[in-house]
Order: sequence, then structure tokens, then C-alpha cells
Amino acid sequence: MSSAVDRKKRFVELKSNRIEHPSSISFPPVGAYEHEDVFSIEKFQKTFKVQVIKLTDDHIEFDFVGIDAALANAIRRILLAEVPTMAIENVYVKNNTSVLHDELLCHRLGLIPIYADPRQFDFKFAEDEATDINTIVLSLNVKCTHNPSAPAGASDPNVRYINSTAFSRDIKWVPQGPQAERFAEDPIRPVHDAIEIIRLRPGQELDIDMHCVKGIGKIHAKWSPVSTAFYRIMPQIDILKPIPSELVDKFVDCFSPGVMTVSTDSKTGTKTVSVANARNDSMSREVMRHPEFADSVRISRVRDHFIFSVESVGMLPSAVLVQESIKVLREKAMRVKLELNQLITNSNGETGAGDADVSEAS
Amino acid sequence: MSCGVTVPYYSEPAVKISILPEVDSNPAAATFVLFNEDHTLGNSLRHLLMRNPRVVYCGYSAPHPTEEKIHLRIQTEEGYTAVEALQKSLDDLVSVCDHMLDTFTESVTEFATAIEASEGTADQMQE
Amino acid sequence: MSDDPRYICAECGHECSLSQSNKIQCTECGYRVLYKKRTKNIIQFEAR
Repeated sequence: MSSAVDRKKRFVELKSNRIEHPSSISFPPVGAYEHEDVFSIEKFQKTFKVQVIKLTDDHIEFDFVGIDAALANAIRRILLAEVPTMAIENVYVKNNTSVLHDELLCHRLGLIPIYADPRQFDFKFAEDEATDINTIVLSLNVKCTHNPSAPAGASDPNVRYINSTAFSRDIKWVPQGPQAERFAEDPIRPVHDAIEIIRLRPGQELDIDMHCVKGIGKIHAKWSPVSTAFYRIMPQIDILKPIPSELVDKFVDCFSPGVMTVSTDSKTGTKTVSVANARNDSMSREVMRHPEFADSVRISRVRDHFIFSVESVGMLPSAVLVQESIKVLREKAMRVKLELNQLITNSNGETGAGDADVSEAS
Repeated sequence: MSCGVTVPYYSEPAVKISILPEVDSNPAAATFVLFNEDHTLGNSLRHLLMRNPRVVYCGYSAPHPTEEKIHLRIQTEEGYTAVEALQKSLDDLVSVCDHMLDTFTESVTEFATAIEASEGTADQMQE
Repeated sequence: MSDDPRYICAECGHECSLSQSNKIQCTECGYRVLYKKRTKNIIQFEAR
């Protein structure tokens, strides 16, 4: 294979006004397949690499290398919309004398992330009764009163009144059946303590029961387990011609900090520039605005190198979310496979019966 | 926001997959309908199918943005059926997921132990 | 007590019930702004 075709397969090239050959070209016309174009799981197992860059419970950054955009994008889409979590769905308002309407208050409650492991719960389908394995019961009971021990003339509502603000920490878990035992080690609670739900004034009261159920972000964003989940494609910068010493500083400023490195000759004082870390580049293409750099640099992206960044809302650690998303994709394929086999068996049976009818008629 | 009305927030379709009827039934060509699926599965399968040299044509579409289904068209060369191609792509996708999960879990564990080890040495140095 | 909805006067806070033929007016002070009293029933909402 020529090196030009090889480059096209491996890189997406950025020009000043366009992106060259952006879509995957590993699907040549029938008969022109090269060995590497054919999918085989053995080959995938050899070429696929994962590297973790940063890892905390809230944020993971990792590289997927040797994978097509279709699959990387599937993982990203599943993270955003199809990894299940628990969120408040049904709200039973007994009393609400606050300034906020019931409907608006309930909408706010729904968006509060609830720390509960969704893998420990079942989906509650429309026809299902609420049980301890598909529902979490929470209650919010806050009443604002005057603070009798407040100093005279105090103007701060937090001092003058008790419960002048209802916080997410006021939401209490009401364990159902064996739930108290099952979640004794890691009790169910809002992920964050200090989310302001509403401000209250003396005499105002909230008395609300809530039911949390398992759901997915596709139905409503409150079930989405991630704050952000995105990937960048790995930048690749090639300096094709040496940059003249007097232009080096200008050249370096065209890229994000840390992308280029400059070395100065101690005797002559001439500067030479080289690529230190293309990964950091924002791909601004600033360098292409300057005619003096026109043929000196080539900017492209490595087609099969994805830099993922996933931030968890907090119900599950970020690494677990990625694992769950892969499991969801697997489950999708398994489900379709099963139903396809069923469809084939059923239709084979039917055609058999149909043939019999025809022969009887004739 | 509605009062006292239960809207199903999660449901699975009764039929997950069907094959569109065609004038001339030929096992080498079929359009599959996948219900409750979108680009996530559609594009993944399309990608795997297009890298199967016995598949002559493959494409997918979401017929309407509010309908939760996709159409997946597969045409194959003689002696191979669209159903077989789809089955292979599903098997491939399952193996890809298995391998992805294993590799990812492995590197996360590796990274976590490396961090723990470096933190341990840092603590020792402080002592 | 009748099933007529109950109202709270915006001026004096007096609670009264009005039926269809009644004037919209507080029976105590005559003020014409009344608030409907919240039901004691539990109301169910969807958190969406």
C-alpha cells in the first residue's frame, strides 16, 4: 500500500479552510479489501489499547487506541443517555406553603442526584408495584421558624430564622423492608449535602414524600450519570521544514502552551523548535494564518486514538461508569441477537406451515 | 408535569427486531428494523458489517426522529445471507465489548495500584 | 361542615367557605381578595 493511502487511513488532516478525508475509509469496494480492512476479533485484541491518564472517583481521563469512531461514539452516547441511575420520580406533596409552586418544586427535587447504587435495584415498569427492590422512599420535612435566641436587630436570615433554607441534606431516606440492612454500610442520601432547594421564611413549611426509581438519561436528563462525557481525537503535528530562528517565538505562540519546545544553541544563540506534546494542542490552526509558516507544518489527528474524559455526577465512580457503559452496549447486542434467533426460528416454522397449506390446496 | 398520571418512564418493546417485507424475497438482502435503538447500536453494527468482506452493501437510518427505531439494510454476496451477516456482526460486537471491558478494567486496576504504590513511597519519605 | 371550598381572607385571615351564589367577599371584614385554602389531600406530581 502506498504511504499516501496509509496516511489517509491513519490521519485526518486539517487544512486552513477544511478537513481532509474526515470519514473512516477502512471500507474499500468489494473485492478490493486489504487484509487489515477486514474485521477480526483477534486483530482487534492485538491492536486495541487502553491507557488511563487521570483517575479519581469524579473524573477519569483515558485513551482508547485502535478503535473506530462508531464504537467510541457508542460508548460516549451510552454514558450520556443509557447508563441507569436512581432519581426522584414520583413526589407526594402533603404540604407546601413556600413561595414555589408544587410543580416547580417537584421538578427541582427530581434534579437532585441521589447516592444509591443503581445496580442494586430493578427497573420499575409501568405495571409494576413499588417494592423495596425498585423504589427508594425519601422524605423532606422542613419548617421555618423564628430563632428565639437571635440577637435583637440581626438582619441575616440565617441568624434570625431556623431553617431559613431547605438543603438537600434535609432529604431523609426512609428504608423499606430489608433496605436498611442492605445499605447499612453506605446509606442512601443525596450526593451533595448543600444543594439549596428553596429558601423559607417563618411559618412556611414543606412536607413531602418522594419515590426514587431507576431510569436512563434518554428518558430524562436527571437520570444521566455523567456531568460531561466527551472525547477528543489525538492531535498530531509534524514540522516539515526547520523554522528560522527569528520566527521560532512566533511559531511557538501559534500553539497551546506546552505543545512546542525550544532549544537554544549555547554558542550561536540560534533557536530550534520541535514538538514536545501534541496532545495538549487545541487545534486552533492559528499557524495557518501566517503565510511564512505555510509549508512548514502539517496538522492532523490520529483517526483511531480517542482521548476520553468522563466526569461522574457522583452516584458511581467514573471508572465504574465506563465499565457499565460497555456492559450496556454488550447487553444491547445480546438482546438483538437473541430476538433475531427467535425471529428466524418462528419464521422458519411459519414458512413450513405455509408450504403445507399450498400443497393441500393444489 | 402532570398531576396524578403515571407516564411509563422505562419500557421495553414487545417486538425488538423485525424484517421489512420485500417484493422479491432474497435471503442475500434484507432490511432489519431494530426497535428502541438509535445511532448507538445502528452505527456500531454498520461499522462492523462494512468491515465484513462478504457484505456487499450496508447502511442504516433513523426513519423519523420521534420514532424509536432504526432501519438496517444489509446486502451480501451469493452464498451468504443478510441474517448470517447480522448474526456475525452481533457476535463481533459482543466480543469487542468483552475485550474492551477486560482491557479497560485491567488498565484502571494497574493505574490505581501504581498510584497507591507511589503514595505509599511518598508517605514513607515524609516519615 | 359543607364540602364547599374554603377560602382565607387576604386582609384579616378569616377562614370561610363560599358556595356558588355567594359574593366573593370576606364574611367578616368585607375584603374582596380571598385565597383558596390548600387541600389536606396528598397531591402526586412527577419530578420532571
